[in-house]
Formats: sequence, structure tokens, C-alpha cells
Amino acid sequence: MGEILKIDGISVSYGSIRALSDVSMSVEEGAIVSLIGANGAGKSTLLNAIVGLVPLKEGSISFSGETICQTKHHGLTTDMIARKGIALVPEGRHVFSDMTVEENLDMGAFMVRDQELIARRKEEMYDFFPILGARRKQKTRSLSGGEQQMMAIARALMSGPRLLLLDEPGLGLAPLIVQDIFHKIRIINEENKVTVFLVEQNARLALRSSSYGYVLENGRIVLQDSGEALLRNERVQKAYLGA
Amino acid sequence: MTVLSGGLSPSGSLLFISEKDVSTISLYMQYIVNGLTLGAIYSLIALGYTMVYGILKFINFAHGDILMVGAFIGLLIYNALTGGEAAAPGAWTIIAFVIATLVSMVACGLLGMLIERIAYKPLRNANRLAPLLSAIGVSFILSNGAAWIFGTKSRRFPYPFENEPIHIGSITITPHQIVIVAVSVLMMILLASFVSRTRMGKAMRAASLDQPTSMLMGINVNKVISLTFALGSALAAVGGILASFDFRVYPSMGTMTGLKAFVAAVIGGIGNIQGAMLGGILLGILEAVGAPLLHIPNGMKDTVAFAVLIIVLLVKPDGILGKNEREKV
Repeated sequence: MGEILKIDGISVSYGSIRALSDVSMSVEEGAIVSLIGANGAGKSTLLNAIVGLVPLKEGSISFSGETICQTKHHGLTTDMIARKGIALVPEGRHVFSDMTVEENLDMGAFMVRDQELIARRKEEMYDFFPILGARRKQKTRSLSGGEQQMMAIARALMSGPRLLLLDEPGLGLAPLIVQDIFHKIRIINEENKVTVFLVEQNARLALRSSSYGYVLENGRIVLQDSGEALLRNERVQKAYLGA
Repeated sequence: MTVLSGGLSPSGSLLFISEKDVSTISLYMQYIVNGLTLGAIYSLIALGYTMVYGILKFINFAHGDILMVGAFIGLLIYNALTGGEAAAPGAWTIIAFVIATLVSMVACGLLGMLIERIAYKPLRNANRLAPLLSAIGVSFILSNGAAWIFGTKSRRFPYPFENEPIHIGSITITPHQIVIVAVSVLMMILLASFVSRTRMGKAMRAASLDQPTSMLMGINVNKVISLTFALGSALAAVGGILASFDFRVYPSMGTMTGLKAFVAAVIGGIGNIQGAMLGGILLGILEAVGAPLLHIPNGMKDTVAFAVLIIVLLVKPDGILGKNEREKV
């Protein structure tokens, strides 16, 4: 298994504010890799750069050997990157609130033309997230935060992605629900063979689930190691694990 | 309510309905029928404003002039096929009318896409005022271009069918009113099912709810925007042709009708498709009933629409079906 995602020396700026500086990292195919860091470290910016929602100032990003993001508008557009097989579950869920659960899943399968495959995947999602099955005709604005998070993950899986990007899947949710969501993420990784790259403030849970991790501080990668090693790392323990 | 019952029963009593009251009631029933016809046209045009606003958060002020272009194209094709005024209404004139309408819809759809590509797309990341000014520019180009090509004199759109009024009780309905309402309702049903059932229709809704997220789903937002302009402009073409039965065809015909349809879209809740339909019908009826009820002279009739707009905005700033909801965090 080679590396599915390679980020090569990227920098991103919002006006005069530099959000990411010379960030390089890679994600092995089939792995769960996490990126931890404090609020404002640039975690979401990194994910948004991968899907082409924010432009790069320097560097490049490639997906299975093909360059998808480059500087000065030479990269692909967000919808083209999605078509390559990258799905992002954005921070704050961003479900289509005025659409039903089922319509949200249909939107997730927008790129899939095979109607039977769409129907089969929907049933799989309803089995995997029973609460969504029970609410399939409800508008998603009526769902709770945890249900919306599951909705957003299920929607992302509908396209059958090779790489799933998750932006703070545990944000603002009760601990038990966060546990459940991480449990599901591991199942998605193991059974569906989807590579997962997740960004999380809950460092303990994220690193426990991951084979490899990166630590982002002020827009720079300051540490990288296996998940276990990072959990034992003194600096990580002090700054992120409250030890 | 007091205003309405006062209007219905000038003698002040609802228990003893005099003959005069009966005629007043039927008079207002007639106004409502007329208002419904007018409102159906407003709705068709309001849909274009609201769909574009839903996705781009921008008011396409050239939309009213598209309806004028649609009316001219429809009239020219209809006259070319039938020979114009001289043709006696019959099966062929009806077929010719359908063909003229369809061709005009396609032509306006393409025109709408072209205008978006040339005048709005390059300004998508510019200051919000820039596309608005560009739209006003396009509006002038269309209306002055039409005046240059066709002249400023107004033309009659011949009736493609017999227009012998039908009397139901004391209310008079003309076949062209029935055609206007039937065609409008058909168009709205088609649009509603397109938006709720088809893949691209749902993509349109998704893009108007959350554009970046819709791109994450693999939706090409540029295509969706083109489609939105095409559909809105095609509906405006139908609206223009239906309006020309009553208002004739001339280069500035889109200005006031377009402005009122915009008002209808705002009243219903701009960005909301059902809102545009409701707002149009409501505005048409209020305009037709309000003017005689409040004894507003004919020349001042248009003030009703704008007075209604002000009242609605004061009470419900987001329009009747507009929602100003906060997202769950």
C-alpha cells in the first residue's frame, strides 16, 4: 500500500494572515491518520485546501500520484476533486437543512449514475446509522447535533470515496455520542477499506484510533509519529491530553 | 376585515343583503378572477428572480426585459406561421401559438445563459454592487436594442383562439384568462416536480442552500447556475407571451411587470420557490381588488403593489415564506 495523499510544502494565506506555512505530510492508503491541534492552528484550512476550497500560495497536493492542487488556479475545482474520490465531512456538519435525510443522501450520491447502486448504498447507510433510517423523510434541520454528524458522514460515504476527510467529527457532541461516532469511523475504515484523515481537538480519542498522527501548531507541523507514540509523548500529553 | 366587509356591504349590514350588495359581491368576485390571471403572470416571472437570488444572492434586474424579448420572439414566430391578424382562430393558430411559445422559451433560455456568462460570471467574486450595475446595463441594452430593431410602437398579439367570454353567474371569464392560469399552473407544476424529483433539480436546491458543500458533493456549480438562468428565462418568456394578450408587445413592457414580479418574489420570501408562486398570486389579487376597494384611480394602480410590499416588509422582513433561521451548532 502506497501513500494515497501527499501534501508537499503548502502555504495558505488569508490576506496578510498566514494560516499554513510549509506543511508537508502524507497519508498511507488504508490507514486512519489524524491531525491534532488547538483552535486556530489551521486544521480546517488544511482540509479545505485539500478539497480546493482555499487556494494554495505555495506547494502542491497530490492524490494517488496525481496533482490535484497547485498554486495560482492551476489545481482542480472542488467538484472535480470530489470526482477523484475524496469526500469531506465539513466542520459544523453543513447538512442541507431544508432537505430530507433521504434527499441529503441523494446529494451525496450525485456523482453516482447507477440507480441500483444508490438504492443499495442508501439501505446500507440506514442499517449502519439506524437513526437515519427512522428519520429518512424528515428534514435534516430537525435532527440533533449527533444525528446531523451521522447524516454528514453517511452523505459523504454515498459517493463511495477512497479518502474520507473528517473535520472535527466530535465537535459539540456528548462524550457517548463522540465514542459512537469514532467507533463507526473505525468500522468504515476496516470494513469498507476507506482511508480516513481526520482533524480533531479531542486528541486522545483521535490518536487512539489512528495509526499515525501529526501535530499542527500555528500553521506548522511540529510533531509527527505513530498514534501510540504521540499519546506517550510528553509535549503532546502536556498540551493536548491535559496530563 | 372591517375594510373588506365595508366594501362588500356598503349598506353596513351583512344580515340584509340587498340587490346592490349582491352586485357588489359579484363585482369583487370578478376583480379576484382578474387578479388571479394577473397574479399567475407575476408568479411565472417572480420564479426567475427568486431562483437566481437563491443561488447567487443577486437580483437579476435584466429579468424583466427577458420577458419582453420572449414576447417579441413569440409574436414574430406566431405571425410568421399564421400570417398575423388576418388568421382566423382555429386548430392551426393554436398549434402555431404552442410552437411560438416553445421556440421563445428555448431562445430566452439560451439568452439568459449567455447573459450570465458574459455579464455576471466574470463579476462573481467582485464587489456585490458590480453585478447589480451590470444587470441594469444589460436591461438597458435589451430594451433599447428592441426599440432599435422593432421600433417603439406597441403591437397587438392576436388571439390564437376564440375569445368569446364565458358567463358563470354574474362573473365573466374570457378563454384567454383560462389559458393564462392553466399555462402558468402547468409551468409551476413542472418546475416544482423538476426541483423536487430530478437529480439536477435537487442539485439546484442544494447549491442554493449551501454552495461550498454542494461542490463537495461533486456538483458543478457553474452548470447549476447556467441551468437556473435558462429555466428562469424560459419561464419569463412564457410570462411575457401571456402578458402580451392584455398589455400588447413593446420594448419597455418588461419594466413595470418585471418590477412588480420582483416585488412579488420579495413578498413571498426571496429565494423561496413556493414563495414566488404565492407572492405573485397574492400581489395580482390585491392589486385587482385593492385599487377599486380603496378608490385608487387607474393611473395610480401600481402604488398598491408597492404599498403591499412596504407593509409585508414591516411585518415580516423576510417575506411570507422566507425564513431567517440559525443553523444548529
